[in-house]
Amino acid sequence: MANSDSSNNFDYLYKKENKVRCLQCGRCAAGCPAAHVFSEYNPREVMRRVQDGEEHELHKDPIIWLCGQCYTCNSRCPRNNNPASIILQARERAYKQGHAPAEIYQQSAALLESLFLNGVTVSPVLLKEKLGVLSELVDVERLTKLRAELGLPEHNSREVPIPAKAIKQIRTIITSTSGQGERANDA
Amino acid sequence: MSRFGVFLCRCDGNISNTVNIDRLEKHFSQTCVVETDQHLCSLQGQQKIKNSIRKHDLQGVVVAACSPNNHGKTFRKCLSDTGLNPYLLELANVREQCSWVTKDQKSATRKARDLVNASIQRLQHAEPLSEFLVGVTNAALVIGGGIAGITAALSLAENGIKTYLVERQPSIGGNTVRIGKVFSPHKMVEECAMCSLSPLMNDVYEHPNITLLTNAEVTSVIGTAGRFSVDIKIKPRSVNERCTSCGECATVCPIEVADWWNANTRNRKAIYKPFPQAVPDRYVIDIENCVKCGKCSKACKSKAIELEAEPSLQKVKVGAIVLATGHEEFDPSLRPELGYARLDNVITQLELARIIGVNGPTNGELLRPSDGAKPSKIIMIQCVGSRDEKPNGLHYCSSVCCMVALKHANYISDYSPGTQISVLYTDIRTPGIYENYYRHVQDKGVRFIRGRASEVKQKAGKLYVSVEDTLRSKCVELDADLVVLSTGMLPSKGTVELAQKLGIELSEELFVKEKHPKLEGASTSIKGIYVCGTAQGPKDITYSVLQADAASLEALSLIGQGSLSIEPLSAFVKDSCNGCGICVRHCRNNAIKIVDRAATIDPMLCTGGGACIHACPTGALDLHNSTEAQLEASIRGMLAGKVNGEIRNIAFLDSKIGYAAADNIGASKLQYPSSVRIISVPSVLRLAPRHIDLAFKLGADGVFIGQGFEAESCGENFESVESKLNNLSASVAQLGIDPARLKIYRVYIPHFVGLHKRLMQFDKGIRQNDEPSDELALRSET
Amino acid sequence: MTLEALISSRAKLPERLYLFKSCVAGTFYPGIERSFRFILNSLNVDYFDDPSQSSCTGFGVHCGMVPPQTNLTLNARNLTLASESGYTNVVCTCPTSYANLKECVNELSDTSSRAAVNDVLKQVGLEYNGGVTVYHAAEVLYVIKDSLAERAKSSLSQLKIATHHGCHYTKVFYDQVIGGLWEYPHLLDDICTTFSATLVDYSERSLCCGMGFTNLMSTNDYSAVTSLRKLESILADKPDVIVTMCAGCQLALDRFQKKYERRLGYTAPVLNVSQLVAILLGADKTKDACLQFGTINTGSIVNKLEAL
Ligand SMILES: Cc1cc2nc3c(=O)[nH]c(=O)nc-3n(C[C@H](O)[C@H](O)[C@H](O)COP(=O)(O)OP(=O)(O)OC[C@H]3O[C@@H](n4cnc5c(N)ncnc54)[C@H](O)[C@@H]3O)c2cc1C
Ligand code: SF4
Ligand code: SF4
Ligand code: SF4
Repeated sequence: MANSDSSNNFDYLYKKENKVRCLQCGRCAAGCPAAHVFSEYNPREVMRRVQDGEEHELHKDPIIWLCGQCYTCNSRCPRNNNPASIILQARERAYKQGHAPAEIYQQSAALLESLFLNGVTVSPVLLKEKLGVLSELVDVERLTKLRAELGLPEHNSREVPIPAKAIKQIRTIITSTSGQGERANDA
Repeated sequence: MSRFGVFLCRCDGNISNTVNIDRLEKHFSQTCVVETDQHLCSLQGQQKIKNSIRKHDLQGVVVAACSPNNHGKTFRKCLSDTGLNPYLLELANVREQCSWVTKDQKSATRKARDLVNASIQRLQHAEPLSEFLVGVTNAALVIGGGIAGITAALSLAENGIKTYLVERQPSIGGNTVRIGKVFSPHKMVEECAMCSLSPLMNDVYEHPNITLLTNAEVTSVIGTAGRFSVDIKIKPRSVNERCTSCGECATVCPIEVADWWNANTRNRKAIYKPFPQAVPDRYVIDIENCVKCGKCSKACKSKAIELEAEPSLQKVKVGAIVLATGHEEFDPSLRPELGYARLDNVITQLELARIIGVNGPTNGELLRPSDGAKPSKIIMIQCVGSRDEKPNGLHYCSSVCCMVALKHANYISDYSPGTQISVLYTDIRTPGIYENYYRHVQDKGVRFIRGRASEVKQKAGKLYVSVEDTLRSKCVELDADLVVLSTGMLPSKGTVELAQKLGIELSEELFVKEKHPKLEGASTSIKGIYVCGTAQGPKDITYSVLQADAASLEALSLIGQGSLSIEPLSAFVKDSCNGCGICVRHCRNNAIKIVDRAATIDPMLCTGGGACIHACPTGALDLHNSTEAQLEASIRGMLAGKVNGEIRNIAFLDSKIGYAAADNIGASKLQYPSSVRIISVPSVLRLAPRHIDLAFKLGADGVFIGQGFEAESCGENFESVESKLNNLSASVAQLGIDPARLKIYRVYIPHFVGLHKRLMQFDKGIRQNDEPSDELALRSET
Repeated sequence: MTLEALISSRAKLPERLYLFKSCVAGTFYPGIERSFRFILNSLNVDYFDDPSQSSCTGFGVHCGMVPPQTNLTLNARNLTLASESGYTNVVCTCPTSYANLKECVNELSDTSSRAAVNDVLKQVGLEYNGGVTVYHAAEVLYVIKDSLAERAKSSLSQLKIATHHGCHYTKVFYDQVIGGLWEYPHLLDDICTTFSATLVDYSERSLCCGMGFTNLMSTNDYSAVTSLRKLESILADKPDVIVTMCAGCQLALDRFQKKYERRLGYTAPVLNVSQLVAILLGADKTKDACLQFGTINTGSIVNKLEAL
């Protein structure tokens, strides 16, 4: 059974107790690599919006996809806030409600399929044009060749694939916590 | 109907919003005289109590209100005013330990009912007692010779009190010596700290009523208000009075050590004079670093050097103590992103003070450490370590650092014109007339950027500070030649150590806690011990001096009373004593003597901890106001009326620290389950296995013992209290009680948050029926 | 407890290690895990290389694609496998797995979360009961660094090294970093100096490598700009090698160097600390350490190793 709004029950990735106490000091922003690259992104402003009660609107704003999830903001904040986790929660909500960028859905299809089929999130086979710019950055041909030389599988990041019994457990868990593969599992 | 009166206080909603007072009134009216009031502590409230005592000819009184630590005395006086013995009073703490810690009305009301019930039961065993008078020693001790301690010592001495001033360092003066210039609220210029301090230091030295002990530390304090006995250990100075301060010795000494008086910006020798105006005006050997080569002895023409001098011990008796042990700086290397200790040109405000100070490493010239060049761009970073909740951070505002940055910015603008100064701040805090200073410095062209610096980096020899100008939403990297960190203030190690030794309460931040933050700002949790200066909280010189005057006034009025009435809370001997003398060994205060084959107890020496009581094989000893009967009644009362399935956990807390910490939990409105019932004992040494056993027999699910006090625990030291407690839990285990149901927690200092966590965890553990794990304790102590 | 005491209390070699495999390492740099196994084998450290463990899904979580409850439950399964095998000290080579698993262990100490998770685990015949501790592989190397140095066949005395500690090791559970404070960790530096390396400090020490999860796959500039910033700073003092403790960091620093080779003007191969230590202990460069997977040629390092 899929949980319709996971943030109600499973918001453990998201530290909430201090958000209203944000000092607006900008320590997070000054260290943030994303704020350095994008003028429209600023974790302090994200915190301000949270303080102003807009936290459940954040997921509609495409800026949430600019954060690099480096957690510098988390390690710098004098009030123990964690803007990165607020972004994370907004992303999750956006993803679920259809606000994520199209490329995210394409990539997620590949990653989640890999997780479902082989129990691993990233695997070499995905690089074949499924992971956007990453596929360009990596010299896939060379990687494939080197892996083949060592006798490593092409479709799996594991040297020893996960045994079938374990894969079955993994699929059951994915299906009952996210609904993914509901039909596949029935079959 | 008994002739007991029960008085229920609503405390203007503080109690009655959670505890249903009407219900309690109805409940207790069946057995006692009951009255309620909005404010029992008010004059009208007190009058109500007195009238009722007279009208009903009451034989005993229960007041259900706030903690006995607040108004216990007031209510006792109500009894004595009407001729009733004041010890026929029981207080039920239904505010700090009930209404403030319980959300649910039903549970709060039920708990309050039980607390009152327990008090009534205990009252049935109360005995009338009378206080006695002791003389007060006409002398005072001031610990710490900074500006606060100096001020306090001088005011006491001026008022004719023999005063001992104990300073750890070889000279008095403290941090004020190091800061060089001081901001002045009225004039927009910086005054010289030494110009105000030096005459005061000389007054201390010359005052006939002051005995100055430098290089000295207090090692133990026993006794109570009016009659403290203090041991002071004096490190050898190794240079006697013949020293003329010529300094020949230092020129030949081969050992160099970082100089604390110059904030380690330069070195001094192992034989040195702290600073030119030092008091006493004499050289001193730092024996930790001296190699005893004897070169100085040869160089000294006055034969003042005594290399083989030994430490000495001085014992003094005083009526009152003033703590003025000050503060230290936050160590900025705990925030390595700011570069301190890694990058030469990142310094603290204190180091800057030394650099621009005439006696400093550059003789007052503003030069940066790396290459001695004159910095043209200076960035000051505010709130370093302050208002910071990361590990080791100070959660509070250090109060003075904004003013310190303004002071230095102003001074540099005046004396090194053309220097560009930027202050990166979180908020500028210049309360009251200090705002004038802020405006003045703004006029000087100092830049203020609102943002807390995130990182200091060095690229190609230049410093860059990352900060967001939050008012423009712009993240920038500002270059600088010199970066100055405005580090926070924390209580000095000496403050914390001494407070622990004396057993006085510290705040959560480890500053000495005032008895009442508004009304008794210079008193501590122990009568006769007062506090002033930065030992009590971050503050500037002005407020340190004001508080020093307040502390000395308090000490004066205590000493001026000539005699004090002492609560009769000592141990006493019943008739079954056979003179075996076992108890004598258990009293470290030497209060017990065997006279004519029977023990006698000196109530002046006994501190009332009760360790001797269960040492006696014939059960001949008991403790006033915490008799066996009273203690048993408390246990019974707290467990009475327990229903099926209900959980009750008894927490025995020592009346000084443990109990006060529990009150602080309430004052901070931290919640805990109403199953926790607190019984105050004079010291946990009062507890015998039979008490724990009784609690379990009467249905307690768990017993928690909170030990927070050493000095008053019958003079025992910590280790021995510890081992006695271990014996206690071993004997309890022998009685067949699951050891998981008994937990002993040490409250080193009244770190009430730690106690709260422990209580919560203990209660949870008992509920889950498994042993509470120790994990949390570890975390709460880091 | 002081921070130092806390650090030293954590700095003990955990016994019976459960090797937690990383999908990014397995895909791009198989030498990381092979090297780590080689090191453990050569010191006879007892470990369990369980094939049944799934990905931690952290990569997907940070992209917002994996629901938290899927993450928590899959990892509860992984942690249960560890505790049931008796190898209760989970060691990750990936900082994201490290942080993610730690987060899960914390969350699972909450009784209601644990109950919810166990409800699902019941379907696959498992029950999570705690008792598992999570470490990063570099922490293990750090605590045994002296024994490693004793067994080294060559030294790093001819090499100038710059290190990068992964953000998900230093900045998520910042208070649990060993080897320095989180803002200036020197865990990797300390390992390298044990083998007599010279270290090169650089100004952007705490900056992200640029990996950036979604950003690495997207057309925005986050990864390229950040990685370049990082690389320019690292390469300023011309280190011979960049040592990391994360396959993702290695990926970003290695591939972006290749991409911007001309602009940077100088390059330095990137190695995981396990790869480096393994070759010092005599591992095969191709079969064990798999140095050939680096896009910046690693030959220069091998040439500079000083035989002992
Ligand atoms: C950089 C900086 C600049 C400042 N500038 C100003 C300013 O311009 N104006 C202003 O008003 N305030 C200023 N302040 C604040 C000022 O320094 C303090 O308010 C003042 O020093 C407090 O004095 P004190 O006597 O309470 O403590 P301290 O000066 O700390 O003195 C405490 C003394 O107690 C001694 N001691 C400690 N423990 C023991 C022990 N166990 N036994 C015996 N002796 C012990 C210490 O050795 C020390 O001599 C500044 C503070 C800083 C950090
Ligand atoms: S660092 Fe923390 S307190 Fe400061 S603006 Fe960012 S979230 Fe707020
Ligand atoms: S986690 Fe995101 S918001 Fe936080 S510092 Fe990194 S990039 Fe910026
Ligand atoms: S006084 Fe100013 S610099 Fe100091 S902690 Fe307070 S706000 Fe920060």
